[in-house]
Amino acid sequence: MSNQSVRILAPASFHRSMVSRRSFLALGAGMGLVLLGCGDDEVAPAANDTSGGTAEPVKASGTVALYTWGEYHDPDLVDEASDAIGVAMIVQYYASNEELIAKLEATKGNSGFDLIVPTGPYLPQMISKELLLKLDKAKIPNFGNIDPVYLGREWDPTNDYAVPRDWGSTGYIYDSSVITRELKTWADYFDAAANEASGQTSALDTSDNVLGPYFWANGISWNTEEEADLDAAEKFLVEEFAPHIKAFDSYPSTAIAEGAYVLSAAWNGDARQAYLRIADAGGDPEPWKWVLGAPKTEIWMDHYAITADAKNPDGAYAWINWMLEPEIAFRDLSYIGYNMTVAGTEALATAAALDRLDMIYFTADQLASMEGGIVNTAQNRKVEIYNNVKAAAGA
Amino acid sequence: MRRRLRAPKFLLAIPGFVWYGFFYAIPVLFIVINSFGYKPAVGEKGSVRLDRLSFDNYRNVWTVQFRQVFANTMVIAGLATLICIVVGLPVAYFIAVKAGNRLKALLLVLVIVPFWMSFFVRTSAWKIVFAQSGFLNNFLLDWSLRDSPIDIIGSKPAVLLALVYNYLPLMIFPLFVSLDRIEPELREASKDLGAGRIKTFASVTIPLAAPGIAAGALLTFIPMAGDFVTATILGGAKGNMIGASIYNFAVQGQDTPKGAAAAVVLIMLILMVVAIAGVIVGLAKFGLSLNRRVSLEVAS
Amino acid sequence: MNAPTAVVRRRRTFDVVRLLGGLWTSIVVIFLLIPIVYVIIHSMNGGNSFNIWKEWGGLTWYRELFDNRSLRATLVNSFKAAIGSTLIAVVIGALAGVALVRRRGRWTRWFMALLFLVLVTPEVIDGFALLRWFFERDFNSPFENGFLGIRGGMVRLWIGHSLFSSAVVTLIVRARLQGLDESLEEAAADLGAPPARVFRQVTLPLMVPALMAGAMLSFSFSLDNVIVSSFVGNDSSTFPLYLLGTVKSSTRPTAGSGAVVLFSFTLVFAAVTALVLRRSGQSSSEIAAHVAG
Repeated sequence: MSNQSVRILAPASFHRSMVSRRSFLALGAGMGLVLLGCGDDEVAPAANDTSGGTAEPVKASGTVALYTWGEYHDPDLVDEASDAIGVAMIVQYYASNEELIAKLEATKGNSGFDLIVPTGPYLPQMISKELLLKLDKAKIPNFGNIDPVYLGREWDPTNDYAVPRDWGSTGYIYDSSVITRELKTWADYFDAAANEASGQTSALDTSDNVLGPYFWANGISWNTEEEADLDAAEKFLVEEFAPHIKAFDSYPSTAIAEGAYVLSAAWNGDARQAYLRIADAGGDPEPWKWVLGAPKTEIWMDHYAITADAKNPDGAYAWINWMLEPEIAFRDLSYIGYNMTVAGTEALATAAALDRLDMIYFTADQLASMEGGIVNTAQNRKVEIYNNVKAAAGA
Repeated sequence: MRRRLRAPKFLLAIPGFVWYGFFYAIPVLFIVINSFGYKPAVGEKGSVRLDRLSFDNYRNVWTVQFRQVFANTMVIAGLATLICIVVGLPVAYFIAVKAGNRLKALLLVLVIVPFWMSFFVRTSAWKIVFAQSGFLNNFLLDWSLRDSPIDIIGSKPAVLLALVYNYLPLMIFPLFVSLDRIEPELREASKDLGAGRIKTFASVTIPLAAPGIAAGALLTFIPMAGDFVTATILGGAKGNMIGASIYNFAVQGQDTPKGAAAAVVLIMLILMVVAIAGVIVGLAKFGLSLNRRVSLEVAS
Repeated sequence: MNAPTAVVRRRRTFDVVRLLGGLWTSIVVIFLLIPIVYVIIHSMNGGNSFNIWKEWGGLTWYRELFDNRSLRATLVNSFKAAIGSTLIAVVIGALAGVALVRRRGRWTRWFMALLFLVLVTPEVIDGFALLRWFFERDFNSPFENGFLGIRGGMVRLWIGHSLFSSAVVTLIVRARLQGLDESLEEAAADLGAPPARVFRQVTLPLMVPALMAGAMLSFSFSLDNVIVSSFVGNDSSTFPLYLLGTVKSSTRPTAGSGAVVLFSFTLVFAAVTALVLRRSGQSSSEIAAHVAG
């Protein structure tokens, strides 16, 4: 096995570039958010110059099979695609990067999917498994609209395979009418799960996100390869956490609105959607409190990529290109609630005064507490632990 | 007279043999082979390596946790089958024996019709029925029939309920067919010989219905044992049945060999249960023939 | 069928068993129908979620089924998969069923054993096995890109869905022919009809009720299949696969409206089948026996 396929993302450098973003934000905090918007706007036109404008979207035809995360695209945009770019979207969902890779690998050469949305650290193994198509950027004139801060990551330094789409973090949301004390950290999450929220707690349905909170709560990097750490995590999660889990649910927002949980680990965008859903269902979102994981939590970044066996790559290019238009990216953002990579969307979001902006955009301190993921030699062991936790939770 | 074609007797079954051979026997055989392989390291191509064969996967799916999952699955599927028999037998009996021809047709339609609504959606519908602020719970609370709303979604009872619901028609129909075939004269004869209703039911009707019970039990138990959709929709973490684990290993967990081992164990367990069911039916038939002989002797 | 009702009527003074049985049957039927009623009501939800009732929405979500191309595609795929796998199941089942009754030999035992295994294997294992078999290059090295180049998701669905249902059709046909006298076919053969013609003009018409019942069953099994499809379906997304996807996010009311549309089609198919069976002079009990397999 090649070295490249194991070492994936050096989180340090992710942070380094985040620092530039942090200073950006610090600047914004001092001078008001409008200025920040202007700063972003300066990037966009410059990019437009090179791409020759974005007036006409790239058109294509046929159907594009999009294999993606749940609740991850504004359904209206999916519907409008046939009019806007001439492509009918077929959307299927996966719950984790492992599932995405397993499905593509198992049906390789004939998966039937055109477009996927993998997370950064998983890209190198997908590239080495030859699952991805090398991008022809001439077919994505709007590529220049992406804020350069997100380009050239370790997992794909030249962005030959993947187009950064959005990024976010992980925390949890709880019903303060049931859990009356204030929760602040991942340790609190486990404690509440074992007490007030026992049997009413949901965990995210991926191996990384089941294990991560334990490591962060105990001051260990979630990228640890130490066997002792992994064994301890397994012991704790199987024996002390699993019995209290009601469900492994990566998108708890709907179930929360139905009153299924009182404590749910969630990605920030889905947690934000929970508020809208609760209100939709006629409930009161007020008692629900969002907590970004602490002392540390994850930062992830998802990308559009085209499968090596895509039947309609042109349709996929057209979709990607369309999604990179600031106006469209902003609409997508307003639905999913994640920080888009397209420059200028933050200004649009601020101007539109979207609900709960603090759940989309993070403070400098919060950013500093975020840790990127690495797919390393511990991966198989992590999946094994995750399966054991699931088995134990069902007992 | 034309000469008959000298074709082999199984000529017409060849498409069947080919189909099951290519798309059942060989693929399942490969699963068995897969279960002795191992998973390649991250980033390597392929999902199974077969250059080193071992029983490791079986050891790994026979751990305390997974034994629990297997046991859970067998208990839930077994319990649901039992409930299906208990609930379905009186219904089948009523339709077959007590209902007039018109009513019979109507009831059969009413029993089968729910079965044609999308499995998935009719299962999800139970979530609506038992929603915390749904119609049923509001009704119960408003009329003070309960102090707190029923909260069973995401628990084993919910899975049990939905399994019974989803597979009950598959139990009622074979039961109905076998009960319907029983000559009414036989029951009458039993009563004429002085046997009470209950005794007639126990010693004549039930044994005669045994093949129907066995068929119904198999038709419900086997799909239940492999079902992961019902458990996924309603069971939450607690509904972790082995079908879901196999799906997890095969698709989500990227561990094909372990999934293969779990699949092999599952099919072994099912074959065991089927064998046991076969023995029970055999005994029932034997008991019936004894019974008949005895009653004939008594009669003569 | 008339004699027994007469017998029952004779002793109708006060039948406790009948009363209790009727009560119990009503309860069970109501239990079976509750979710169906909920599905129909919630398919007309005005809100954005299938599970959470908001307000009366009329037929919005039915229109959405036809306006939304990707949703429409899943419905069309469901029908394609159901029709294809039903045809396969009926052809294989008819031929094998005839052979099992009319051409018995030592092979019968082997075939029945195979059939038995197919019937007792849970779908999750069928799906898993087919997934490995269709795609694994290690096994299929002579065939680049999978076994015999089975490329389309639809073909995979036809194969996957036909496995269980063809076994069921075989058993139904076998049961039907066992109940029929062979003398008709023998007479036709004695009169000089070649075997193919005997089959076409005598055996086949006799089998029609069984084939219809079998087709009905295969069709509804396939229309409803989630488990096998979730392994081999991929882009050939059927409606149940769309639904499985929504579990990972949120279920929209189109789940209800789509289910009601498929439900209606199945009902029509079932009504036609029942009519054909009735024409061929079968009682409701016999029809039930067919439908139950």
